[in-house]
Amino acid sequence: MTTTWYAFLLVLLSQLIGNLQAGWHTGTAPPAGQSWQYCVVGAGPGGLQMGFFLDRAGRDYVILERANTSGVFFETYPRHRKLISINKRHTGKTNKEFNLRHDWNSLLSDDESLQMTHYSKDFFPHADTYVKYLKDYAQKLKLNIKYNTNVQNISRSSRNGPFTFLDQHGHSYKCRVMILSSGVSLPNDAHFEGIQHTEGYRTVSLDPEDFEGKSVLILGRGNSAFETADHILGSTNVIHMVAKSRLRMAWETHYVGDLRAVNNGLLDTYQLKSLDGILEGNIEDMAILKRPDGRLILVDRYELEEVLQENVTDSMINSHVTRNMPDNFALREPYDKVIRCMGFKFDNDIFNNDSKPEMGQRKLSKYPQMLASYESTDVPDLFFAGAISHAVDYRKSAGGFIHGFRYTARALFRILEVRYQSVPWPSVRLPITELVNHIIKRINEASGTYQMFSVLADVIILHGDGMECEYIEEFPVKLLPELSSITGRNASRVIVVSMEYGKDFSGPGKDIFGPMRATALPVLAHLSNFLHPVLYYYSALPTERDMSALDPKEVLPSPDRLHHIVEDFLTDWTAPVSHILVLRRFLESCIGSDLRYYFDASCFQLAMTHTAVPIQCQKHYLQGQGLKGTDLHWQHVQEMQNILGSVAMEAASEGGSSVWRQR
Amino acid sequence: MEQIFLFFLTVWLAAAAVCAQDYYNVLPSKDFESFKSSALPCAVHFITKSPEKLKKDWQMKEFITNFMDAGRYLVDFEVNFATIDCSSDPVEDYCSRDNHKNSLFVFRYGHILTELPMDALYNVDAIVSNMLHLVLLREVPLIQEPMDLAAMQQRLKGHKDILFAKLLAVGTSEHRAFMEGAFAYSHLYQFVMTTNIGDNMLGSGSEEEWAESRNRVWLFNCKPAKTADLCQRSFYRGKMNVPAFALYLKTLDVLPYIEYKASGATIFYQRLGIPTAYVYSNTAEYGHDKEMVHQLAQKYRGNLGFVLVNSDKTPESVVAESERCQPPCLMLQRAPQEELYVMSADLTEDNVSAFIEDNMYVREDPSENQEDGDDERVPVQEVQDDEVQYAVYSDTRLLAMEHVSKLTDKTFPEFVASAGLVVVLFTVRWDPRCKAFLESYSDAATTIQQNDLPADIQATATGPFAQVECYNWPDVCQLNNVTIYPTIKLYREGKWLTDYKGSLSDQGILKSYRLYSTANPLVLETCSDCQAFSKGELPHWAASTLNAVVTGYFPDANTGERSAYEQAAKMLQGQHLMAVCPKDCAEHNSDVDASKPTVTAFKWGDHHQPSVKYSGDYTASDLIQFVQAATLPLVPELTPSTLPLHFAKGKPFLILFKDTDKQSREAEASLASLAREKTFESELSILWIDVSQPSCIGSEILKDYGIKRQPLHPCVVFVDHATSRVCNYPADYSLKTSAMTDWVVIVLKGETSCSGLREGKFEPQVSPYDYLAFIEESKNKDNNAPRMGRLATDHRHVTEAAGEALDDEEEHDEDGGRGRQFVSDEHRHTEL
Repeated sequence: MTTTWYAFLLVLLSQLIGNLQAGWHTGTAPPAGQSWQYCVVGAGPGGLQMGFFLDRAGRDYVILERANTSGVFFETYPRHRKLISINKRHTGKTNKEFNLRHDWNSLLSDDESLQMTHYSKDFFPHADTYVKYLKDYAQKLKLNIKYNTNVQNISRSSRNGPFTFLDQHGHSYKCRVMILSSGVSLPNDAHFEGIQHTEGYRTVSLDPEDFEGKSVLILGRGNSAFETADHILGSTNVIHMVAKSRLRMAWETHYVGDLRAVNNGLLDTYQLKSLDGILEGNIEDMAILKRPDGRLILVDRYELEEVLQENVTDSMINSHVTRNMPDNFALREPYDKVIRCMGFKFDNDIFNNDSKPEMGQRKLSKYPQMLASYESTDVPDLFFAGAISHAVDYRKSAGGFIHGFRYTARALFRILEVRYQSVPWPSVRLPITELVNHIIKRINEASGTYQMFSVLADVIILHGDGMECEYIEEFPVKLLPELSSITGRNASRVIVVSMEYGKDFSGPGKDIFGPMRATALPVLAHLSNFLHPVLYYYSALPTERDMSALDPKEVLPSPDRLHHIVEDFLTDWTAPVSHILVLRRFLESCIGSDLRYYFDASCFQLAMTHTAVPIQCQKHYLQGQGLKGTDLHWQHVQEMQNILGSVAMEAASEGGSSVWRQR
Repeated sequence: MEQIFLFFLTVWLAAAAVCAQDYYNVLPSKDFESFKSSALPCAVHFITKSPEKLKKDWQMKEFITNFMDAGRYLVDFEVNFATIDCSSDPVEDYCSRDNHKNSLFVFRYGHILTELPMDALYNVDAIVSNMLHLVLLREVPLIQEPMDLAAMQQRLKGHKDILFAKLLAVGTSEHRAFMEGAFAYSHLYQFVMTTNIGDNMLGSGSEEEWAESRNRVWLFNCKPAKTADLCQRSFYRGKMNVPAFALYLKTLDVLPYIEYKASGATIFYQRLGIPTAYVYSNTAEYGHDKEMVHQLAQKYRGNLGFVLVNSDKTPESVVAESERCQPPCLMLQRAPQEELYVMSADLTEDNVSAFIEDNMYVREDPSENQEDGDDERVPVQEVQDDEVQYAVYSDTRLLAMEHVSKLTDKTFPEFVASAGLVVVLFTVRWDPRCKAFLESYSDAATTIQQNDLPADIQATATGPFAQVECYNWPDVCQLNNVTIYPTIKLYREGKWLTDYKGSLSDQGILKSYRLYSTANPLVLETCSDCQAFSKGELPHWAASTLNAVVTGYFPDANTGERSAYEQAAKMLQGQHLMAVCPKDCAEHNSDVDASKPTVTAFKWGDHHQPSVKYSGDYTASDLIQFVQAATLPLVPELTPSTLPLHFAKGKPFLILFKDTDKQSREAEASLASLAREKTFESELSILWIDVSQPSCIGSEILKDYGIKRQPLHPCVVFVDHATSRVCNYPADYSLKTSAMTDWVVIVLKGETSCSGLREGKFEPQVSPYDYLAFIEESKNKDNNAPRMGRLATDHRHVTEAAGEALDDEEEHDEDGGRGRQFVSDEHRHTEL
């Protein structure tokens, strides 16, 4: 009783001291020129995830955060406070790895209590809960985070030297490797006339009362636009939405960055009653004018320019321009409010010119330019994690979202380990006899390759005599030509196990509910549309040139052998024939030997009459680890022999030796 | 509506409940003794589950229903069934047996004749056929070798015809029809059957006839055959069910053909319902046609009756109410009142035979392995050719696994930390080896629970066997470094002890558990314990688990000898059981020098060499070598389970293929003395294989070597894997030790001609689906053609499919389409 009381006091006291120390640190000047090997900028989910891996590996690292807490982005965003990442608490399975396929919010860790499923019962949790979650994550895992540190003026004296930077108080820091996980924090605003009459998503009122009886125009067509619309749908007169590209539903593109089926009440009112509506158009080609009565009208920018050239007076602009529009112009009615919901972009102002990374082109302009290894294309030792790392798989996979970048952060961490610590990529060595089982296990439970489909894939390195292999998880497929140097493991013959959607299945406007959307026949597995495993066998690694010549629809260059495991409604790929048998035949052809299992009696007979026995007999039976089986099993074996006999007869009678051809 | 449904549901449930308690011929326990002393086999089903539990056990319920139906049916065959309800009126001896649940007991003369496993009795046909086969055990032999059938024909020439059935399996409806026929007709014919459908038993040149049908019954007409003749052969062409086969047997018993003499005479084929062929001949051709009918009647014996009509003498149709064909002609009728098929081609044997085949019988296509006329043939890629996977998938029984705890991430640490030795099996649910092993594992767990644990623990504790399914708990398996499935780990007091490296069998895991849970060496307190130990009576499981034990006497407790022995024992834990006997025991034993340490291996199964005394130096490694060698029989049997051990030695094998005859025993004795003399100890492993059964593996291996063995003769074969040589000891050589020694010397020198082993190159049997080719193929097809499993997309969508293409299009709009978007001539509703 008393001891616990003292213990409690002690904890309280030590916390107090800790707080005081923290206070002193921020108040007084720290020793100049603090340095670490790894600096992670930003304590959002991406930064924390990186921090966790570095911490558990015992690396010299720090996470630098501008705010006084972790995950500060989620204190504000999403504005209407409902996360749209799913929080699936039950899947009917106890497999923790599998369950991560449907838990999109949790970060990876070794503490089972740190799962969002324990924090919220909501399928779409409240953003405040997530803030609490991130705080707990940082605290419980004891990550080394420096809060209230605004990283500025990152610079570098030599191309391969350490980075140096300052905080807002002018304290200087030094780092060997910079990992930027500062997220996309700047509003991605377009430039158009009259922007001053509109308001941004960042500041838009959350009170539906403010929209009572108002006509609203929303610029943008992403999830934030629909989130905003959904919130005020019951209050407004009408909501119109304008954006450059056509509407893309996430369920038709299989890209979670497209419109999710969460907030789209507006689609109902548009399609059912022509009440609200969405239109395509480039916002930069228009202008917003404020009428004298305070209402806002939308006009074509070029026409506005023409009118302005004709020296029409300000008060006349309104009437003049609108008269020139077609009389049934869709957006001819004035609006009370125009709201910009156009997304965010990366802020590269924290760099000095000597280390400022190049920004991306065209659709990637909101991200810095980076390689498939998440390293900046022009600044060595500068890496990206979290939302910005999405440049690698933008509009392809889930790397811009927590459930995706928690895995790409791990991949980045492993790349760093090989490169800076000479610790090879983790792998499992397996006898070839276990390969089928291991692949089946991974395709049925792995979450990383499932979430980061077509980007991260498992790689099996086949060794010399084909009796052993090495299994590598979640490797960035685009780096396959550099497999040996990236992982620190020798490789030439490999099998890549990746998860893919059907090539022509995903896309806006596709008939993804059509009657032919799925197949159950293994022979048509290559036409599978839903996420399914695809295996590529290379007798030699593809080259960088093969990689760069790749059609953007393809995940990998043409392999020596290819295998598709047919899509499955339950995503359970354990069917003995449709999944396992045909997979075994593929692997047998890659390895060049029989991988079938045998009961002891069969191995015995083969061993007594042959100079050698099949691999499974060698590895199990002859090692004294055979399988005896029961009489009932043996009856079934005879049954199978009869069937095989009749199949062979059938094939022979058709001259079908080609189907039985021996490789 | 819902109420009606509910009503039916209740009625159905009530009916089901009644059925479950309604057993066939419930026998009071006091009548059991008299019931089982019947002279004909009788079956007793012991029901051990309570009625409540039975309600949930649909398999057992189904069995009870089948048992009742079969029991009622077999009353006519004087085969009696009874049920003992263990919950209300138990027969102690049987109700408490551990295998009562899964077996049906068959008694005769008060003794157990056999126990039929319940899973072999899946329907009424299976129960009836198996029971009748037990009744007719002697009358209907089950043969597996062509030579057995040949010998039988030889024996029965001039005595009895043989009805020989080739059956795909026992327990089928075909088997039942055959056994019922045998029950009724075994006084007239010799019935015999085989399930070895792979070997043609009819003699060479008849492969096609053998393979044509999966189940078939042949008649060997041996009664009229002379010693030098062959028995004429024909076969049954009808369906293998009880009424059709009964009709066949009835038909066999009557004249195969008749000559129609008097108008208006009745034809008994018609009366008996036998299919009939009417041959309308004429006076000119009568002699020729009669000869033809005689021949055909032999061929179709039992299947078809022939009526030969001289149409010149009998101008009308002999079948009532039917037109006669224009003679010479043939008419066929399957049964009275049925349609008549007319043939008017020339009456030759070939023509008639072909016409009969075409019109009377549907040819069974043996390649159709599924009865339902499934037109779509399974691609060879999808035909299962992995025997373990096939067997496991075909076995649809649900395993109870009563004594195996299923562990989770939470219960695993608790379980492993529990007192004593525990075993954990790590599985993945799709792996066929894991699945195939589960039953043996569960049996081992049950054995331990019931035989090895103290009675007070038995009831309460969960037992020391557990399973972790790695697909459910990958975290648990990862923590235990499991990457191979199945993996079996032994833990003691929360600590990992060892990985089980033995075979996946109940015996193997039992042995490992028992040896690890016993101290090695076992320090015995008394001489009588020591005696019992050396006979396998102590520990109580020794005889059933091990073949040999090792004892050591040490005059002084603190000698180097004893510590070397203890060290060896420690290293051999899990593989061999060793004991230290009290020193005074040596004094009772006259041939032991009580002043010296003595280590002896006792082998209770080896009559050539029941014990071996150690004579070497007392070092741990020498002792280990001794124990490993001395615990083996002098001439060990080579079986699937012992081969790996002998194979690992890397020495050539000298193998006696041993039958039960005198010569075999002589050869065995010679080999035993060879082994004892250790003449070839470093060059050979001397072993034997059983070939007393015609279909056992040993016989198969000999067949593969191309060695023809006289029945009831041994074979001695030298097999060397290293040089791929198989040398057969000449049959005319003496089986004495000296002759063998000479031969072995010559063989080892390589001075005999030998055959070789087959090349062991195991490549993939079937090439995989070539998806690269499939994709290429579908690219070459018209892109717009809709394909199975692929969306029929129009061109616009194809170009828009990739994000890139779409974005490029947008940018194109931006650059070239200034102003177009807002003011458009054909402004669409979707565009500004």
